[in-house]
Amino acid sequence: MLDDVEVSSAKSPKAKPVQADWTSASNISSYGGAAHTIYEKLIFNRHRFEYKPSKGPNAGKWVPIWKTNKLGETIRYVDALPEEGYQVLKNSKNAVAKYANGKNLTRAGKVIGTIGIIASVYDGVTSKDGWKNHHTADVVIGVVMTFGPVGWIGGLTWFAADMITQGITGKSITENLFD
Amino acid sequence: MYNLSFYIIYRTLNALGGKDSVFTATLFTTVLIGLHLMGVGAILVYLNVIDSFPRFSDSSFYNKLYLYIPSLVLVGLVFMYFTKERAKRIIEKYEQRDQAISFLNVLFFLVLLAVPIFLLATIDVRGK
Repeated sequence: MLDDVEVSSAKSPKAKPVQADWTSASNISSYGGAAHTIYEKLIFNRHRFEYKPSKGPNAGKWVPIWKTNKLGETIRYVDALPEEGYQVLKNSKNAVAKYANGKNLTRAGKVIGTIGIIASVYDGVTSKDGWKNHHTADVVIGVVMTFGPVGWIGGLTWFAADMITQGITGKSITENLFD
Repeated sequence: MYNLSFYIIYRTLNALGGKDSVFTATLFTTVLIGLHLMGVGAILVYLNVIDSFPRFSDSSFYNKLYLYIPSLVLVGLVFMYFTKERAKRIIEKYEQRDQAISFLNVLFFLVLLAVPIFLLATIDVRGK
């Protein structure tokens, strides 16, 4: 008897509030990359080629890490590998360390980008919903940001826009655009 | 195979005016090797040697966090291979060849890049 009873309701199901998925796969590497970019480009790069000597008349002041001759011209030498370009002459241990820090910081950003690309591909192919267009976009953006000429403006702009988009729609830019 | 890929990427980056090209070319080669490993995994899934690719968590967040560890290990291993000395040797070796950047070599590199992507696109590695 109970099987014949139809239950109906005039109430429509409550709409779920839109929640931003701050931890979506497409954004983890972006967060790390963006934090790195902000530090490198906005904080570190203000004095990228300067250092503070601990001794001498310029102690505690920002001075160029490049060694200069009497005419004030920078003295550098060409490294054996052409892509290394011109290297700083050893002005002081601190200067060399500062130069190395800058180089390592840039390299760290590239490593973050690289592992982000590999993880994005793997995550995309093993995703329950299958590979989606936003995975493609994530990989393309990762490749361009890590290996391409797109600089910090692109990275920061993307990060800010993605944050805003997620806050409003609950989806990342690429999910909104492609899925 | 990977030496040639490394050299082609290195030359391309240099031509585009990139700095620190050896480092960047090594990272790009890491991505290539990562894709190849996944391609081999896809073939194993296709041949039913393994059921599916392991997924560490349903949550993409945790899945990706777990994936960062093997990815980082892979980066480390590739850097252990492409040392500064070896990179220099590879570059010098290919620089001495007249046709290192030939049409066929570039095509070979593109095929190397495309094959694992094709495999991953066509084989469902999520299992049944």
